[in-house]
Amino acid sequence: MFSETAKKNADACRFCWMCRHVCPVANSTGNEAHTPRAKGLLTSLVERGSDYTPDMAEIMYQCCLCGACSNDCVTGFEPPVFIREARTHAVVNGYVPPSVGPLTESVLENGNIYGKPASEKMSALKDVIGNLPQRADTLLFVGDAAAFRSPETALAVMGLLKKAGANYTVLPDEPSSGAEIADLLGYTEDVRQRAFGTAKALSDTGASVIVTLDPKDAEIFMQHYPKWGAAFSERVETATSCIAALVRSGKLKIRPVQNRKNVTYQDPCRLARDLNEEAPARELIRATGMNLQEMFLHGKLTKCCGGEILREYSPQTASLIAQDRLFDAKRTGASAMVTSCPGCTTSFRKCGDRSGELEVLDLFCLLDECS
Amino acid sequence: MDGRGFMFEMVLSELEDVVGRENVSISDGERLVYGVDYFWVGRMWVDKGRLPPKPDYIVRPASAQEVSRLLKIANYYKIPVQTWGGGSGSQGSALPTAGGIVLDTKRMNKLIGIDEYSRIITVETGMVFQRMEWYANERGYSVMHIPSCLTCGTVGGALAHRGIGIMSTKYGKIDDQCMSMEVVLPNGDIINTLPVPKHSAGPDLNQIFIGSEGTLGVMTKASFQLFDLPECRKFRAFLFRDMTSGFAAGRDIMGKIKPSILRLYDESETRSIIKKVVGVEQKGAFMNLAVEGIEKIVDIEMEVIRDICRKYGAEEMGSDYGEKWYKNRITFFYPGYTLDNPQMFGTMDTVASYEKVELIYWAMKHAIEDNFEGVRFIAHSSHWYGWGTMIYDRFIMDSPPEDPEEAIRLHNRIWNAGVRAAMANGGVINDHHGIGLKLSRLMKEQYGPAMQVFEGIKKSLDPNGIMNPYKLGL
Repeated sequence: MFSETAKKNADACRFCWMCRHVCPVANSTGNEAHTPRAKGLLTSLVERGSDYTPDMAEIMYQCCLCGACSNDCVTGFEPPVFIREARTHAVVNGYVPPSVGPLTESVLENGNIYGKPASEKMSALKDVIGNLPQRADTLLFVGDAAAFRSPETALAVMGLLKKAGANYTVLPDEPSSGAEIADLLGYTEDVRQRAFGTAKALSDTGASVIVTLDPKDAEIFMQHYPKWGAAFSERVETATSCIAALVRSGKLKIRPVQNRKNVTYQDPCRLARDLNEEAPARELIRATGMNLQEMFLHGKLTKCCGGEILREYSPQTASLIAQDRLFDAKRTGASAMVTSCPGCTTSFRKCGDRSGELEVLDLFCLLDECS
Repeated sequence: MDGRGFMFEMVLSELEDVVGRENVSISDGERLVYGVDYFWVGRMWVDKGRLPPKPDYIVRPASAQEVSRLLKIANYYKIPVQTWGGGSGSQGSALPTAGGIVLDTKRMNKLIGIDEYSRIITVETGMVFQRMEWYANERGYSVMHIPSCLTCGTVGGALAHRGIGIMSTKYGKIDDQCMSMEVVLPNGDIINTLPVPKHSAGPDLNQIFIGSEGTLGVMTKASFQLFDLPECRKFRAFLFRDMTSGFAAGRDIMGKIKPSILRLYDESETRSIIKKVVGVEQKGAFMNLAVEGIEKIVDIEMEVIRDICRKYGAEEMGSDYGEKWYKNRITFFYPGYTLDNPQMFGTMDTVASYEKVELIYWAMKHAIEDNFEGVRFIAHSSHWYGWGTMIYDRFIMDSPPEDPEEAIRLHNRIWNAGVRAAMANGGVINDHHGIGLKLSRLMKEQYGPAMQVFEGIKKSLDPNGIMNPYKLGL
């Protein structure tokens, strides 16, 4: 049932307890079945003749795919490999949990997980996009999460690019990268086929650089599209890295804020762990004059925000995860947490602190105000 | 509670009423997960495609008050309760061998507070131990309980089996480090031990519950002493001609200095270690140690240690190995490095006085190697005291029987032989992994008539015998 790679990973993880301390879901629900080793054990039992059941499928969806377990593994095993495949089998066998069902139905109908027609994706941005050239050197890829959940972040990045005099455009009918779909369904043939369509649409713009607002999109473009043969010749750059370069070159001027605060920074999981990028966001925070107070676990050791997708089908768990991270942030003494990922921003604002003790600041919105 | 008659549903709704529907599981998938802990038998069993023992209900309380209500329900219906922390114990102590309820403690995972002035941290016991250590590290302290399962087990799990960390020689075992506890008794009463552990107010309540492996109640909060993070930690390795001179040097060192790490390997383990360090096979007994604290004191202590080791004819092997070992100390427990199926293996750690420890080492080695074909025996001593040390002795069988029932019987015969050899020569049934299901049958042999003290406590606190049946010989 599972691929050789998934079997190898599951057999390694089934009797290994070493990474549970970094699993955001298991640490929040306290449920042993939500640990990476439990998912490995169940996968290995299925490979040894047990039936794959709907309740096993439900367990496989209790994961943010944040990669903390893989990052922690000193021998290089990766639970997300068999978890993604288990999700594919859940879809194939009709075992998708009821709470996840609306998301998978939306994917099939709309190509996104948000239950909205693809035609509505860029509706909050259409006025600005309408004033952009059709072809430009740089293509800003907004991504599903920002377009549907935090368009203000996209508008801020567009504002920054404009102020820097960048020659850029945004696709008015931007397709999905497939990142969210791949998390929900696994790396299925459908996801790969969508990648070819997306790669062609991006190449057809003639841009030489694709700037991605969402680290999830950057990760799938950089690390998966090439493996599938859906590569494009354009250079992919994260928005944090692009804006930091514009500030460094002097093309974008940042004025230090008047009300200087102690802030902390939430490293997005895929930006820090998968793309190895930690410095640009910190450089930008310092440019605003804010005093950066690091959380004890930061960089590659960052903790998940609850996750864009988990939040859609398991809001209570996502909320517990976000609150755990906000507790980390508060212990730094900071009065605000800066985020640089649309998923993180939405998670912390929706599920997080309601006491008003800790403000959640979107990095790009903050920079837009300071430029 | 087998089957799904209406009584099953009646109890289920009572449990859900306490912790909420989302914190009770009866699904097959989740029940399977709780049937496998780190115990070799359970792992081998599922590796052969057999199904593990399963609980009827899994409950996840968030507070001592919820634990109290759950235990009252369990007592009324006389349903077994097995407390589960991380499930990373090697003795099968957490396994739901009697069915009934598994009480997973991991929702009780809050930091209660850090009293920096007194150097005390208080947490709920369902917290994974590493997370408590991080809270301490964040403020420049450490609990200094650093076992290989630091990231795997919970605070309650470490207390329940009387655990130990690699720094124990300087900082003590968990039973030395714990200050006080909140415990829910089987009848649902919530009690607290005294605020500090040193007093003259009768026997130490902490020590009744530490090591009780879930048979006497559920520990829900615990406070620990904090230590300042050391200014420096310095390593040094030595090669002795044999175990005898290694034990003698270790004993001498412990009379004068407390290293944080002191590890002496037998000749079998030494051969492979030396090969890794210097690339050639060398005979002898390898010792790796660390001293830590204030640098100028550490330097003097290390000089004293070097003098002692020279006195016993040791060859100095520098500090590289120790530093590398410390950096990679948990790598040995990851897949690909650790012992795993299809091998049969076990760690039969014992502890004894200096007078007896070497005799015990040889007795155990012979009991295993002379009686069981194809079984290897390796050992090291890694936790030292002023009066003696422990032996972390392991047996390894590369090709155990294919048949799982036959494998279990052989596994138990090997364990009986090794542990009985230790006990017959003045050693103790276990040093720091606990008893659990694995050694339960040998507890009466170890304690003799003294076992009635434990049995009396058990009968008094848990008259219905619901708490973790078949474990700890109770």
